[in-house]
Amino acid sequence: MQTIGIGIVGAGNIGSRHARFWAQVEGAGVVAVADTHPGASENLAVLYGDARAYQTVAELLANPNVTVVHVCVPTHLHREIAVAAANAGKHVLCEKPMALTLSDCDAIIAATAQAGVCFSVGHVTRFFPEYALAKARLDAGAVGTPTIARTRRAGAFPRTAWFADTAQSGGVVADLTVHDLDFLQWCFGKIIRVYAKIAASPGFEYALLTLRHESGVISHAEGVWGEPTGFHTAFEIAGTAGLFTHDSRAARALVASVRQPGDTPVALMNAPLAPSDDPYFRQVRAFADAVRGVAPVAVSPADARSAVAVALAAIESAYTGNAVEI
Amino acid sequence: MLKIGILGTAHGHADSYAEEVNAHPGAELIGVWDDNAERREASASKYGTAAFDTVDALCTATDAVIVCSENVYHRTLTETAARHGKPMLCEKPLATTPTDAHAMITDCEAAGVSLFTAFPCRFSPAFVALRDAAHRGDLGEILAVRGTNRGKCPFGWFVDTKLSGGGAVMDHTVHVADLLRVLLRSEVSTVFCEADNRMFSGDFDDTGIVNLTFESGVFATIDCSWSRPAQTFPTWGDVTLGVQGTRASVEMDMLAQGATLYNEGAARIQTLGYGSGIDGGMVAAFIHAMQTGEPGDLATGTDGLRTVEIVAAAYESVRTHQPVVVKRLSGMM
Ligand SMILES: NC(=O)c1ccc[n+]([C@@H]2O[C@H](COP(=O)([O-])OP(=O)(O)OC[C@H]3O[C@@H](n4cnc5c(N)ncnc54)[C@H](O)[C@@H]3O)[C@@H](O)[C@H]2O)c1
Repeated sequence: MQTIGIGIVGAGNIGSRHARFWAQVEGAGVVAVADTHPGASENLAVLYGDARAYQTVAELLANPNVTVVHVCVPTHLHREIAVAAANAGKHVLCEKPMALTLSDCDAIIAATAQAGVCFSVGHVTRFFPEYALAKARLDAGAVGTPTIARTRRAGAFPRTAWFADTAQSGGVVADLTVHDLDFLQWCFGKIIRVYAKIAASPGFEYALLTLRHESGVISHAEGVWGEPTGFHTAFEIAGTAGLFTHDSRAARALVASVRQPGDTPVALMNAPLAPSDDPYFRQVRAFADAVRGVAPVAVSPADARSAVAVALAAIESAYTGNAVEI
Repeated sequence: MLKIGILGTAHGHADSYAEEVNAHPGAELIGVWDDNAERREASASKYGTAAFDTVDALCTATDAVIVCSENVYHRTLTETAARHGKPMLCEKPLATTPTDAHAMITDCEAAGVSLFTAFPCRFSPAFVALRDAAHRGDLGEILAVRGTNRGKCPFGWFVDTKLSGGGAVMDHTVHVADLLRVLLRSEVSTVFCEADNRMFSGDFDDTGIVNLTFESGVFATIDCSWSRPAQTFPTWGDVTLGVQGTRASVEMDMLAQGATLYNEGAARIQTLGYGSGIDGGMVAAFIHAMQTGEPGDLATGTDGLRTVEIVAAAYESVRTHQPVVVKRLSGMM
């Protein structure tokens, strides 16, 4: 029984990953892949039985077996693909950030609402067990009233060229820190003011954001592209009755080291999870549930738009030197 | 032997400074004064020294003084010591307002005595190594720094703004701000701050993020919150810097050298620090400065003033919700 046919648009880094997890969702499967880069869709589609490979999005949208379009193209193209998919009557799961302008966000939200399809954005951080745990414990009062929070997200400078063009990716704030902006708003509500600074040098982009939530919580987000120690995240939430902290550098279940310097590293994940706990799996399964009508989408369009609004305000603040009210 | 007196023991650091003076072969602690007779006697017996009834009496008997009163009294105590011609080391923040800090500097200058600000973090071996590496150019060009100086709420007079001049922003901004001035060799041009009373109800700020933009263009944030849980946090707090250079990044956790004690008796997990003490280095430098006239790495009065100006700008920013240009008073020492 394969009721949900997935069409992956953009067979790059994240598109390939999502395809892998969609294939594990019961009652769903990858039926089509589209990518404008010659050969890219074939290379991915071949992994999924008789999934069709296309070089244009139009062909994928014309395939009646596609019920969900998972938008995995570079960010500045999200609007074009998402709106076309909605107009074709497909449910839309779009990679984060939703878009790089609020008018693009509004166009996507309007098109999906008009079409009456499910629409959500891949703020996968909500599905990472440590972040989900924080949210659940927070809601249960584990730290009392939250007072001040901090996040850190650091990784290598993106290898794919388009990320370096802020017009296409939004830079470190809109592309990377946006994960934390969504998490912070999920936990502490709407951010009403932001002051941010961004530094850049070749192969490096760095941002520090100071945020004020409507609830009064003060938060601080740090984003790094060009982190020499490898990808990691950390957060802490202080409250009147406790302090909740996590640092992925300290939460490693496996550390492998080769004996000879320079030898090929042992390919091991530092923090492996059971397949059913994988955040990317849980994200697509949750969207499948929304498509089936058994649950609302995990990330509302309004929340995803709001994360973009904060990221854009942060970029404006860095540009003007002023705090920006949202 | 250099005769040292401690004026005011309200600040807990007096205990540590007294211990360091007592341990130093070139100095002796000849007495303490405090406006609170009970505290004066208690401190004197704790430090094994004499309790003096008046500031004048103690100043007369010493070669140099250390001021550790509540923040708002720094100015008058400094004025008295200066009148007696006694050089001094004053606890941070140097004063609660730039005007007071500036007046202290002017008084000391007029009296021909030296005034130093107690910034012991400058003497942390980790910071010294970071500073030297940065100044050698090993990090490339420094673009940004993320700093924290978080702690448990000290309560007492620290949360009585009539005595402290402010809360966490007043108490915890200045250490890291001073380290950044040393590290970056630049002055702060603008300050933005979000701060509030959110942890413990009262009219003092207990949570805050201070943003500094330096004349060089480098930016930094300082989390100065009293956000460490009183019962369960394993240390008093932290001093950290995450320095982003074009060639390298450096993470400094000044107090990371510690062992963990799972303490059944206290039902707590405790980090027992074994890193080199920072107060000892500062007190030794002060004694050395008194003996030789060489200030070494000590923070001057002007260094103290610069950080007080930053704090004043931070509080103004909390009111205006916008960055504030730091108003700099001319400092002489
Ligand atoms: N949630 C996460 O953890 C995460 C991680 C990485 C990327 N992302 C997001 O995913 C999106 C894609 O990033 P990526 O790293 O996979 O990039 P990528 O460059 O690896 O892949 C993008 C793919 O889209 C294809 N493409 C470009 N234009 C197209 C078009 N008009 N139609 C069809 N295909 C087209 C490219 O040929 C490429 O194969 C971005 O929005 C990014 O922010 C999210």
